[in-house]
Amino acid sequence: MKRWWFSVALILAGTAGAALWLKSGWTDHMRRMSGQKDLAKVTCFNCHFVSTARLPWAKPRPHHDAPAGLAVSPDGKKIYIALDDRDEVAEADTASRKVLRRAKVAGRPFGLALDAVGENLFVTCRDGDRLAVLDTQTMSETASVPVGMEPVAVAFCRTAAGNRLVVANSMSDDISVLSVSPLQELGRPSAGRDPFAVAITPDGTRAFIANRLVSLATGQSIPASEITEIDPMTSRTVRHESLESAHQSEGICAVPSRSWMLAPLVKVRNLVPITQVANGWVMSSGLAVTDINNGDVIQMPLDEANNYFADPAGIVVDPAGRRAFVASGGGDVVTVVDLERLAGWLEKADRATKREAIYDMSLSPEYVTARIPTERNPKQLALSPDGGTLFVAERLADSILMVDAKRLVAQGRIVLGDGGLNDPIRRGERVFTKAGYTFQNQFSCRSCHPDGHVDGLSYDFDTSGIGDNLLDNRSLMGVAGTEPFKWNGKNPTLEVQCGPRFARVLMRTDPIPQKELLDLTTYIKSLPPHRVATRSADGTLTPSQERGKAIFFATRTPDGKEIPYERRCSTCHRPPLYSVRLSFDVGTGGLFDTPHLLGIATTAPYLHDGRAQTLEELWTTYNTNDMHGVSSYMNKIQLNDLIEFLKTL
Amino acid sequence: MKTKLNSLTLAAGLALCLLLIAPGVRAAATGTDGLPFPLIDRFENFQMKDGMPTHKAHCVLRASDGKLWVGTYNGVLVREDGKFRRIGVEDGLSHKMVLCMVEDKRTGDMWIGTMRGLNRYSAGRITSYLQTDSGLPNNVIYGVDILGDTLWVATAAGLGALNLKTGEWTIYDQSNTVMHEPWVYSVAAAKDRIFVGVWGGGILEYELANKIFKEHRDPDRDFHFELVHDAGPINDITSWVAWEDGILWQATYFGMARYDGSRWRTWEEKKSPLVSNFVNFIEPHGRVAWVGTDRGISVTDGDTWVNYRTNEKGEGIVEIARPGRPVETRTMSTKLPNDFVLGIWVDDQEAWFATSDGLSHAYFAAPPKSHGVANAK
Amino acid sequence: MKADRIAQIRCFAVVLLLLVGAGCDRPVPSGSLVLTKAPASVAMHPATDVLDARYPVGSRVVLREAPFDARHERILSGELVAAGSPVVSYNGQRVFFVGKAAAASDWQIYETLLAGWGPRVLTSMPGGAMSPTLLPNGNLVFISPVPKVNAAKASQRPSALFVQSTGGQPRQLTFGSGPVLDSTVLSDGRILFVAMQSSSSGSTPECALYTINNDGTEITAFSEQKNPVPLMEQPRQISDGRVAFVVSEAGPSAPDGLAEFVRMARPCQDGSLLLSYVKPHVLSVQPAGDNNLLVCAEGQAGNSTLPAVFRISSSATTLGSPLLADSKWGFQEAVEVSAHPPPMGRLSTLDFTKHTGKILCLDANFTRDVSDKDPPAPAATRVRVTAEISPGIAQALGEVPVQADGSFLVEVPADTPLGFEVIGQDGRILRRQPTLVWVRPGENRSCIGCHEPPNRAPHNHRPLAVNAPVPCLSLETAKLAKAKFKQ
Repeated sequence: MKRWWFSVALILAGTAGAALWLKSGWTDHMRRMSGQKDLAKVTCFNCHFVSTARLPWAKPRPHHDAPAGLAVSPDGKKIYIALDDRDEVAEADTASRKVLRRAKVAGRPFGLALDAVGENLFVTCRDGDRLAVLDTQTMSETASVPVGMEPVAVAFCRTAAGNRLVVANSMSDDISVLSVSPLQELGRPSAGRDPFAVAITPDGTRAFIANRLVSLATGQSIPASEITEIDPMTSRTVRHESLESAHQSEGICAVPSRSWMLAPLVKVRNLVPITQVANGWVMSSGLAVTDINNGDVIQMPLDEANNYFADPAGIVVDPAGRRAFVASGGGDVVTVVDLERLAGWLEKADRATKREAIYDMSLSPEYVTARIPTERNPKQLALSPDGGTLFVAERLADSILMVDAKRLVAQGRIVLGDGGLNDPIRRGERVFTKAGYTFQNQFSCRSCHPDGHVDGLSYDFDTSGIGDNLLDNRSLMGVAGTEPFKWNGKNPTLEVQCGPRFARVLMRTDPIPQKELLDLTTYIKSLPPHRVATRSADGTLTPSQERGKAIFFATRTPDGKEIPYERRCSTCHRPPLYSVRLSFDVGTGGLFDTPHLLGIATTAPYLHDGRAQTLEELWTTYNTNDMHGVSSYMNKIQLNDLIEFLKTL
Repeated sequence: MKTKLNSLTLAAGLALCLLLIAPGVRAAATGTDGLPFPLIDRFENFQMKDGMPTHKAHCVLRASDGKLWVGTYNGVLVREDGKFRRIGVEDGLSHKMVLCMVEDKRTGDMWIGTMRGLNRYSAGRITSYLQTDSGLPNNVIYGVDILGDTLWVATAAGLGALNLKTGEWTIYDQSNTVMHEPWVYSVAAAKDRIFVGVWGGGILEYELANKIFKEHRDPDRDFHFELVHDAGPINDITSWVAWEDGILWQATYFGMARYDGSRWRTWEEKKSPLVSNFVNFIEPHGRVAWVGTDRGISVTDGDTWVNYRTNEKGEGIVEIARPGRPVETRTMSTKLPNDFVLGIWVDDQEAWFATSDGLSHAYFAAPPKSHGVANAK
Repeated sequence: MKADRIAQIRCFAVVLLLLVGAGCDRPVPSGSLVLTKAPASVAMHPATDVLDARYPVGSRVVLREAPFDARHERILSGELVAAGSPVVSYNGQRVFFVGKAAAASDWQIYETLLAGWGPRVLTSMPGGAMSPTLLPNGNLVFISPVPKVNAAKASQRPSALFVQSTGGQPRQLTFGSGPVLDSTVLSDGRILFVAMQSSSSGSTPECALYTINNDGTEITAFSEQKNPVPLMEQPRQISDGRVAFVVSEAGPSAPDGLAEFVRMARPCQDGSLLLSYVKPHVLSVQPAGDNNLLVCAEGQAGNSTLPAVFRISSSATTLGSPLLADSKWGFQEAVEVSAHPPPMGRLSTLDFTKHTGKILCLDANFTRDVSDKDPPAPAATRVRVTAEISPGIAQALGEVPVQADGSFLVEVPADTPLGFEVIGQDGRILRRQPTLVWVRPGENRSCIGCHEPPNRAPHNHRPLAVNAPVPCLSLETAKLAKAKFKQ
């Protein structure tokens, strides 16, 4: 009996001892590996059992008939519609409003343009980095030519040296100028950041390119995007017109009979502490009126004093040059601008008044004469050649609205799909792009996160203080599985991130209702990381990228000295997400949640307040004490290699 | 008899005519005075008193749109319609001291190298690249050139190559090439290769197809003396390289050299009409080299030389050295503002010189009315 | 025995039916009208406050269903001696109004279920409560005390806006020095109210429209009329992005009421006549379905001079025939019963653990007070902040520096009327703003300039003031200040 009890006691003591030893060992392991003193937020899953294959963005998702680019045939009888989510181009009859044919075009067809006689349809393939040519008779692809990265827009023009195509390459920040016969690239002038729309002057001598994002700027400098002007005959750059504190131009159009180019824009106030939203405090929509002759730009407001029409997108002008139509993707309207009244106002205004016009939120009624309601997320626009019919791509309703452009009355719709309301991702995208959740409809989630990505700006969010919270805007692409959120890591889930606190400090309204909030986060989680530019098609790395990878995972410097565990790149930026999702002090003034590095190449600027313009500056300028990884031993070649590797993530 | 005399007379007359005409024909075919290249008639100078922002001009080139670009100690000057317009740090230039420039003729962009960073000037917009915010090897940019879609940058810490389409930088220095040291003073693009002037390392030749670097070193390895002639670069301290029409030219502080892909030729002042061993810059025009030194200009096709310099009396003189003939010296009514010539640009009609004390515009003497055959650039 | 049992059962059943019937909601048809009607002949009592002047004894709030004749009328205000200002809840089921239990008692806010029982009092404010309006979360907003007829007298405690949750205590929302006279809630969730201020010339007090958020933050001028009027009432957001209101030169219920409107798109343009074809006197304009308006106007219906109800489209050019007219009753207000989308809500940013707020001005030199034709104004170097410590008495709290770019940042007492004086280098006061604004506890408030042009968005730049330490001014620091003056 005694022996039995003794054995039990021994076993229990042994078990307790083992457990104690395991716990302390385990705690030591977690403390050492995570670098955290407080283990309350540390779990095994910070470092282990993470697989991108299980993340929502890695799983198949439904596809929809969301219309992108539009092109109307010269006789007005047909309209061509790019369906980038389907890898298709549709041809519809404008009289019957029926889709006649669909052609498969690989690589996310996005921008469209027809030649002068409507025989050839030129299609930019956003994922394929190419321009495809479709024969409109057979709706089959007849030619293809490589262009820059992520081409999104194309325009056809006639020059003295022959027909040209001008393509905006949004990811390589340049413009491809091609001859049509033969179909080949003649030149690649540089554009601004994220060129997105192209328009040709009526005489064909100039091409104007609207750019979506601001050029690289540090957190506190005044941002500016640009309108790029080139000569399509020679592919030489003529001008870069700066748009101060303005960005997100997704359309551009010439005005016949006036020497104007019009481009919608968003006027942003990211440097002003966001203590309120009223009076355009965060942003407002406007129109850049560019004088073709001298490049002067005047910014004019499109919003109203107490109501906003967020996310301006496509723009068209009627053949008589009397009216411009501007789509408001977040406001679900098309704004009608009377260009004669606008011209009249400009004629009377002095220079100072013109300069200040964009700040006067009560000015637009001088020339905005109507707002045509649409279904969700109007983006691209097209006009029939006679100017009688306006076509509006209702992107998240899978339809094309047709409007009598003279009476401004809806005529009907070309229905492309079912709208996708059974798909929570699609529903979530509708929440994401809807400005109605913010005060006076001033902006949507998309306003700061175009395509779910970054706008390249830092914003000063309201806290208990004023002006002490300038924060770099982060990409939402690939964020699934990378909780917690916010630079200080205080939001454990996306639902909290987008919930009441967000409503309080930014939206300045009630929170998004719970059902819509869940759809919204479903959509955000479905966004894959931004496309990588520099990895080869078969996934192999270049020698420089391989060397950079070795540096990233190095445990010793080249001279053999051990790199402390907590100062190795791979400790905090552990694959596959390249983040252990814990907070660390990297010498920039506090503890910050480790951002993931997927798609990092395109998310400049960097660090919590956007102080680093480029990846290089993370180590050349902002890591002098090696707190953000040991880098002081690196020479320039090694740093280049490391950065080339980071660009492959 | 009469017929024979008449024939003889005719022949003699013809011969006489030919003798009279031929020099002119030769002159028309090759330049003035029977030279194989143009002769400078006069200099028009621009100095601080004429509105230049500084004494020193470092480089000069005429862009394909006709505008003249001048890199100076205090910014860039652009000359159009007879006036200079200055671009400085206040316009976004990364540093006021401009050392080199090259035009991307496909787009009209101008790449400007300074003492602190590289600048891309595109229709008024300046984008700067520093070693701290880009893959640029070093901020001190001595030379730039473009070949295809790659911009080559010679810096104080290696050679940089920027892929203009992808934005990728590649750095070459002594750690990954046969480069003797990273202080790279010049880069010149040839058709399918580039030549790099290495300070103390002679010349590197990089074949793009094979991605192979090859060294050309001074065969006698002596900095001060040329012991072995016409056998390689004249010296390892290369101050400039330039390439055109199949000919590579090397400038050093101890003479100059020429390489046609198989044969080298070298010159130094004591053994040739070269105006000075201290060669800053060479600008080829066809197969003629325009050579900027510390004591004036030499122009040569390798055989015929014309020097422009200031004599002891302070007069501008031109010295013409034809093969097998004594040197002919003429006094000019005008002269360079300063004999220390740092940069040159030449075409068929004119030449421009960047000197230590101003910019000089050289007008060529008008050739005879028969047509010249100078190569267009 | 058996018969008694049956009788008991019958009696019980009847009582039960009555009880059930009484408890059942009897749905009110959408499109019904809630009206304020006042008797044509009424004993004149001296009106001590603005509600007495507007709603004489015998005024009542009633519900009329179509066809809107007296047979389809139900009194909602019960036994109250006077009542008015009806507001229908967003779900169309409740009515809120002001009422007086007795001639000598204060006006208070009452609530009644349209399909249910009689009114119950919601407020017990000393001095009374008026102008009920509703926030989307069901909270009640009202004004208290009810201003006296001469509301501009500074010695009276100025009427202010209050908010009260169901069963909760009232909390003050406005803290300006002038009385608040009427209010409504805009579709964007802000509270739009009429406040009276002394004119800049010091003569006739002027009314203007202001907005605040639903927690009293972001006090902002909504529209400023170049030709101000002494009285503005009944602001209402109507169709086509307009705000309508009734203006009067002669005061409440004077026979000169005109309906005007401003556009939300440019509210600072002068008001336009809403019903240019209507002679004065308009008593009220309310929005109705299908972009219609319900207008109560006097002297428009045939020979009758009593106010009648007209239903017109917003683009109408005549009033047409009245929807409702009576020879014995005048209809002062008409509100449609219908469920309609509530305004946008808003989560408050207040922090009641704090007693201060912060004000950031981006450029004190940016003002509308100087035109381009004037010589350049001297730059501001300091700003003096004043606070109204008692009605009509303002005291300087202290001065803060203005940065090189014109910006300044200051921490100030919350819930206190504040004014500003912009001071130049030579000590001269360049501009002065009376104590019209306030901050709420924990509020961070910004402005673009100092009396800047209205409806301006800010330039995008980082104000220098955010880099400097924030000076904190309080009534304690005011004791050190030497300026004490009568406003």
